[in-house]
Parts: sequence; C-alpha cells; structure tokens
Amino acid sequence: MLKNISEQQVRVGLGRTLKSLRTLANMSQEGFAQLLSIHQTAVSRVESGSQSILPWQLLKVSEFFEISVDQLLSGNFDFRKIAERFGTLPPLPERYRQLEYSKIREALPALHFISSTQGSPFFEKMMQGFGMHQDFIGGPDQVIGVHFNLDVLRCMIDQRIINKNSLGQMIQYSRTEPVQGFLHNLYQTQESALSLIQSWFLNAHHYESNFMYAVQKCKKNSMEVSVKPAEHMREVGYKDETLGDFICEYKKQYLSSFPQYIGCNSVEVTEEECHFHGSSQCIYSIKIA
Amino acid sequence: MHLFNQNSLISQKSFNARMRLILKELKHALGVDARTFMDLIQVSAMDYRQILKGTSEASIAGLHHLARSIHVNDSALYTGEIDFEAVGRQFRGDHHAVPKRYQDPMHQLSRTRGVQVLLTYFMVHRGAAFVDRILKTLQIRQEFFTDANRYISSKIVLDLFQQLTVQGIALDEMMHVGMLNIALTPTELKKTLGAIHDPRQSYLYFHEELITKFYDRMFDYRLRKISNAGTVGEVHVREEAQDIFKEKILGSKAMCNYRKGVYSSHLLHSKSKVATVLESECMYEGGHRCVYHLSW
Repeated sequence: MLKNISEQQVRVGLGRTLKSLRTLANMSQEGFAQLLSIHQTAVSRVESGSQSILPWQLLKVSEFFEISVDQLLSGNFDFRKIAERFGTLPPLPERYRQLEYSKIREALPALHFISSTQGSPFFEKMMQGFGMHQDFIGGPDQVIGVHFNLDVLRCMIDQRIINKNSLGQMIQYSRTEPVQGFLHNLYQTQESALSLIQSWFLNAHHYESNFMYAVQKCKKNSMEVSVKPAEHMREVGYKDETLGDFICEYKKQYLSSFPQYIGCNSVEVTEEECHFHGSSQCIYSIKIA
Repeated sequence: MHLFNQNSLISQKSFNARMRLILKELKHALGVDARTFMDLIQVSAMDYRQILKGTSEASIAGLHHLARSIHVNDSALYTGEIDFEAVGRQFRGDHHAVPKRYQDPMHQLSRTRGVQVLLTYFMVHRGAAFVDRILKTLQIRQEFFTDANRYISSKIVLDLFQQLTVQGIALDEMMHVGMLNIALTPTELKKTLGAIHDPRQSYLYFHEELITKFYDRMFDYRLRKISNAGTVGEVHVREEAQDIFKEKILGSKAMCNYRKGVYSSHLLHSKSKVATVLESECMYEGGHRCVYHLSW
C-alpha cells in the first residue's frame, strides 16, 4: 500500500511539474511527446498524473531543461530561469515582478484561507484575475512583488471574505508547515511565547522586506517591538481606501495569537505608536497575559 | 502503456544498460541479499529478474526510494556518480565513511569545528532538508561531523562552500555565518579570548595561535600591520594544501566572506565590538593571497 501511494505521489507531482515546464518553454504537446519519445496522446495522461514516465525519460527532461532529477521530483526550481532560458515571459504579471521584496510565504495564509473557505473554482478565478496561474506559485521562499499580497488582501476585503473581525480565522492558517516551510521546525522548538515572537522577528526577512522589524526591549514577561516601513514602500499604496489600516490590524492580531503556534495562550498587544495614523513606525508593547 | 518512438530505443537502451551496472555495483557495495535489494528498489522478484536481463526497468519511485535509503541524491543515482564503497559502508552503519575524494590523510588539515558552524546555521535558517541535500551531494553523513576537534579533509570544507554557492546562498549571508563562529567558540577558548582586552593582542593571538590550533591548517594567516586603529592581515594557501587548490573550485569566494565574518566578530569576545573588514586582494579573484583590512 505504501509503495502504491509513493508511486502515485511521484506520478502526480511529476506530471504537474512536467506540465509547468512545457508551458514555461512554450512547447506544444507534440514537441514534448518527441522529447519523451512517446505518442502525443500520452502527454496529457502523463501531465495529469494518470500515466508514469520512465527513469530514462526523466533524465532526458533533466538534461533538456537543465534541472536536476532531484529538483524535478521535488518541483522546487526557479521558474523564472526556465522562462528566461526559453525566451518566454516569466509566469508572473509585470506588476508582481516589480519591487520584489516579498515572498510567497507572506501571502500563503490568505491563499490557503481563500481556497479552503471559498473553494477551488473561486480561487482559480481570483488568480486568473491577477493574471497568475496557480501552478506557478512555488514554495514559500519564492520571491514575488510587494503588490501581490496587497492585491490578495484587497480582493478579500472587496469580496467580503475577510474583515478586521474575522482576521483571526485567516491567521490560524499561518500556523502550519506548508505555510511556514523550514521555519515551522524553528518555531516548534521555541520554549516561550516571547522567544517565539522574537524568532519570528529575527526571521521576518523570510516573509518580506517591506517592513523592518526590530525588538526594542525585552524583559521576562514583556517586550516592545517596532515595525517600520522600508524606503520602497513610499511608492506602494498600502494605506489606500480599501486597505486603510488593515495591515496594521493584521500584524497586531498575528502577533497576539502567534504564541498559539507552540500551544501557549495569546499575548496582550498594545499599540503605543502607529505608522498608519501618522507616526514613523508602529510600536507594539507585548505582555504575557 | 507507453508508445515509444523507434529512434528513442538507443538512448533508452544505453541508459538502462548503465542503470543495470549501477544497481549491480550498489547491491554489491551495500552487501545485501536479492530480497532486500528488491525491497529497496520496490520491485517484485519477477520484475527484478527482468531488470537483470534488461527487459524491464525500475520505476522512478523505486529509484527514489533507493536513493533515500542509501542517502544519496536521485541525480547521483541516475548518473552513477556515487562512491559505492563509502555509500556501502554508511549503509552498513559506518557513518564516518567518506568518499575516496576525502580520504587522503595529507589533506586532513581542517577541524570539524568550522563545518559544525555552517551546518548549525543552515539547519536553523534553511531547515534540515536543505542541509540534508548538501550532505547527500557530498555523500557524507551528518554523524561524521560530531567531533569538533577531529581533523577532516579540507576538500570537504571547500566542496561545502561550493555547494552553498550552488544552492544560492549569497555572499552577504556567508559573512553572517562567519560571525556566528563566536557563538559556537569552545568555552575554554572564550575565557582566554575574553581575558585579552587589547584588540591588537587579541588579533595577534588570533593569527598566531587560534586559527591554526582550533580551526584549520589549510591556510597561513599572517599579520602584516598592526596599530591602535586596526590591522592588516593576509591569508595564503599553505604548501601542504597547494595540491588541494589545483582543482578548479567554484564558489570559494564564499569562504572569503565567511572569513570576513569571523574577523569582524572576533572583538566581541573582549570588547563587545564588531570590526569593519574590507578585502583589498582576493585569491579567488586573481590575487595570490587574500588581504583583509580591519578597523575598530
């Protein structure tokens, strides 16, 4: 049974990867069939995961796309480089190729929340509206423009999928390994709420570099942290009519409930200063409740 | 069911012939019986017989299972770039076995301590899977690096830096990693360094004793100039390590930045200060040595 599941997982995952690669290379199914030395009708079955390819064919794909067999099997490679090599546009709209200071990890809680609560058809339609294909959303560490997460949040607010009162439900989706990637294990090893928050702040650059996070003071049962927008955020309308101070509230609630990651109670977060209301930065005072 | 183009048979044939040889060598190196090997590549007895005859082949999933079981990358299995002896010994429990490339006793010029810093940092900041991937490429088990004082082949260190570069670790980050050396310095050494308050004396000790005694004998670290404001130090490849550097090494600039991090954080031991470090010459950019200018 374990063997069959393993083969199926490999087949399905590989099929998805092969389809992505073919699309990135702007290659027809016929062309791909020639590469794999199979009949054209088999390509759809391979890409859908209902038919497997053989190791020698995998090696041919590896050599053709200059991606290692390991990367093909994990699906973890730089889509951008493939598109550049074949002279096709990267699978990202121009808007999300600007100000690439974010990573997919930042948007994953929202994306998972939308997919779970609104269903796959809604999710696909939303992504199409952004000009993105969901197959080209890579792992949490994939770099993307700052506008992507903001556009996702705007869409959620406009469609009334989320508001400040229901943020907590979305934030719950952040406490999983698929969202956090390698940070999941790091967080799991923290022994207290404050050390967990501190570890998040120290690794903030693995989410985005749009804001600068710093621990200003740290005591036994409390700490003070600051969040300041980076220079490039002046060009970005993140305090517009739709978003308002939503991002500020998001960060506050995220901070407050983050200790739940390791089974601790939420912490008390008070905002001493707020960038969204005139100050140069947000300062949060955090106390263990 | 696959419909194959007649022209593909030759490349399929040569791949399968090579894979048969690889599997045969591996079975021999692992020292397992046929039944165990069939379990490793996830085939039935009938399929196994056909694989040996050349009329069938292992699946991608089966080869992936084998690669994971013997702790090598799938790519290495497909290309046969495996040190069969080392992998076999590791599989049988000798986790200190290393590929032939790293076995020359004349190259054992680096202590494990420096590698431990790298592995610890990337375990935390990139995760176990990242470190695992790199070690699989080197075909070395993590257990090999347990003893901080042990001397290991300097080629391991160079290959490690090469792999970190290949995996996309930026030079800036390598400097941060170097700065972490201080956090992992042995306690007795920290006490010695903490007792030296004069930065000049501290760096003198660093160059004259510390590096050679606790970290590596691959390079010669010399102080060219020392003053109240800073030092100028240079790093040469030692004569006994010259042949290691005859190979073309990719990504060794990462080692320079790592070294910059070590230099810059050295003062934290006694002065709680960080030195500014600039490199004016680099052996990986055409120079004959690396020259570092430190100021505090």
